[in-house]
Amino acid sequence: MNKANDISAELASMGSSLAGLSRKMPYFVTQGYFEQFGDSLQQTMKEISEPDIATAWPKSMPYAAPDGYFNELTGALVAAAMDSGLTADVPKTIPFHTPAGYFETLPQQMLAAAKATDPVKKETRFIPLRRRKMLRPIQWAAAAVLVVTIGMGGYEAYFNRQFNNPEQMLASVNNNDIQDYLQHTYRLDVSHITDNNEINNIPLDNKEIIQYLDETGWDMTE
Amino acid sequence: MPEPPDQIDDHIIVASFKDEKLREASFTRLVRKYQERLYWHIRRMVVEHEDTNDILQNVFIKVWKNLGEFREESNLYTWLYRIGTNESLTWIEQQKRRTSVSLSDNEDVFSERLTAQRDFDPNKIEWKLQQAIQTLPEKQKVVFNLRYYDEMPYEDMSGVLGTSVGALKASYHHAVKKVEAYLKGD
Repeated sequence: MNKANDISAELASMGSSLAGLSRKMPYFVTQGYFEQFGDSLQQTMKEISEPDIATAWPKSMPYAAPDGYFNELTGALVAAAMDSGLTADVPKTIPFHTPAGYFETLPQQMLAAAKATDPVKKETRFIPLRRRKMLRPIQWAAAAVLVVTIGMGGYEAYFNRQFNNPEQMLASVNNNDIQDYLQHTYRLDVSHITDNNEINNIPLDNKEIIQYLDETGWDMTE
Repeated sequence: MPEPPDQIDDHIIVASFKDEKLREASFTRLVRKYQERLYWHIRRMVVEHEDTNDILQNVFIKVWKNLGEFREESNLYTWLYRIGTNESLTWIEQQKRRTSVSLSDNEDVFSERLTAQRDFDPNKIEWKLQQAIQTLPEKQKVVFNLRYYDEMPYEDMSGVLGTSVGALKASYHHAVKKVEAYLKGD
């Protein structure tokens, strides 16, 4: 099978002008490169398999920086930058504002803050081994109480949340319950109203309903 | 259908490599057999001879380390080409990161290397073709080179690149069109 003909035939089938082009590589390779490559490779492999002699070399620097060099470095760099004119065009006014009297009261505030951070000398507490052992169960019990409290609060908040919205509150109440309540409390028979299909066509806004209920003494938050 | 002599030879190389006493001899035979093919495959991607030499050495060092575990699920030569391709693509990625260039800038970097090559002649079609190939995305460049220059069957190319034969055919087709368009536009 002549692969070269296959490639040319494939390119010809694509209608490509590459079909008739030379596939000679134009790159230069030094004479004898391939003959010597094997030896060069062996040399490389020998070198990388040898122990790294660099591990025996010292890591300490033979140089020393002048005394105090790094302490003064920041100031020197800033001064050099300013001298170079890099900051020449940078305005020197600071655009931020401070509250009135800020700097007058600052020293007292700083003193108070500094005193507050003074370490309080405490005597080292010695906890007998028996009490230390008792501390662990007490800690677990406290954690359990906390979890239960948070859980109960979350349960309460979750289920009560559903009824913060008056509309949702009303929607959650069964219609029969509403009818029974109206009948029992106000002797109002609403069945003849609800049976009337026309009631559904009355254009009433929910807000209007809630407002009416509020005005007639219904407490939506109960 | 009997295997071609080339593949029988590869079986012998792999088998003898696993023998401690024959390892060096089989490795030397393998290097002599594949060095030029792999060299040109790599150089078509990275252009410079020195970079190609470094990558080629890395490829054969990897072969030395891993040929003992080679299970011959693929052909030896597709395995070698896979290592060569991956090493080249990894090297190209490292170069991109070192020089912090975008992909389009990367094309210019390799185009510049091309024009700096000894005996470069923009009037010669072989150089124009290399310039056209350098404008292709990396993977497409590999597909084009493997098919056009190495005459690799799509099935073997699939083993090298881990891409389906259909996708490779489509990629090659697009690459040919792009190269043609570049040559016509020149």
